[in-house]
Amino acid sequence: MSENGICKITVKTRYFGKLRELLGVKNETYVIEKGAAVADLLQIYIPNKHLNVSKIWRETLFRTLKGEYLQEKNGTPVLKNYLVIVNGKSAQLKDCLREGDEIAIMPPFGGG
Amino acid sequence: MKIGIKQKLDHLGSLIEELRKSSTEIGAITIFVGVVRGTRGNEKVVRLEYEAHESLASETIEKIINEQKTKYGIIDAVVEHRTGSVTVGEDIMYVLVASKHRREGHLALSEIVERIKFEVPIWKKEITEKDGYWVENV
Repeated sequence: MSENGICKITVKTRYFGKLRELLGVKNETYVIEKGAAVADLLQIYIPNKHLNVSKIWRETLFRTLKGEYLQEKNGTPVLKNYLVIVNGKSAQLKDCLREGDEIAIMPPFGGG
Repeated sequence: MKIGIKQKLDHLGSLIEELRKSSTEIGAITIFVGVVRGTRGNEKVVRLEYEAHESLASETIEKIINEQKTKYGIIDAVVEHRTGSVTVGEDIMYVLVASKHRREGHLALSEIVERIKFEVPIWKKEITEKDGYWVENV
């Protein structure tokens, strides 16, 4: 897909537990720039679509120190103990997304 | 092996019978039944609400059981876990382990239950008379 000369891809997101409750949806579809990483989806696309809870979203997912978001040496943010699963497999924030990917964002588990 | 992430658990007695018939080598069936407790500290619990990534949960439980087969030599296992709303006193989860002898059955059962809490994508909200709390097994 191309929009203003920029290649776009479509990905699907799934939310569980407190994240589903926070956003008020179970699943969504995002059209994002080709080459975008998991971190871009979590830091930019999702909070920008849910502006009313964007601050809580970022505070819930990412580690902070003295009010500043922590970053790895490569600039990616640092997740709290949340898991990101892309197409059924564990993913890193720096991983690039591809057309048709399904991204599940998971809070710490609470079964039993 | 039987794994279920579902709204309604099968009858425990029928799960035991099914497991018993799976091998003549079985000498012990050890069982864990998780039940909804009626209190959270000083608060009265009304119900628990469960949700799961069902395909990944089943896949992870299968991996856990297979690892227990290798580690303790158990013969087979059954795991069923509820989703949706579960009220106080109702059963949440059944774990059944079939083994030749009781010792490896006890060890495997304990390990499977612990690992389900920490490794399987299931989420729980505890609803009390005052509030609701997402429970995190960390």
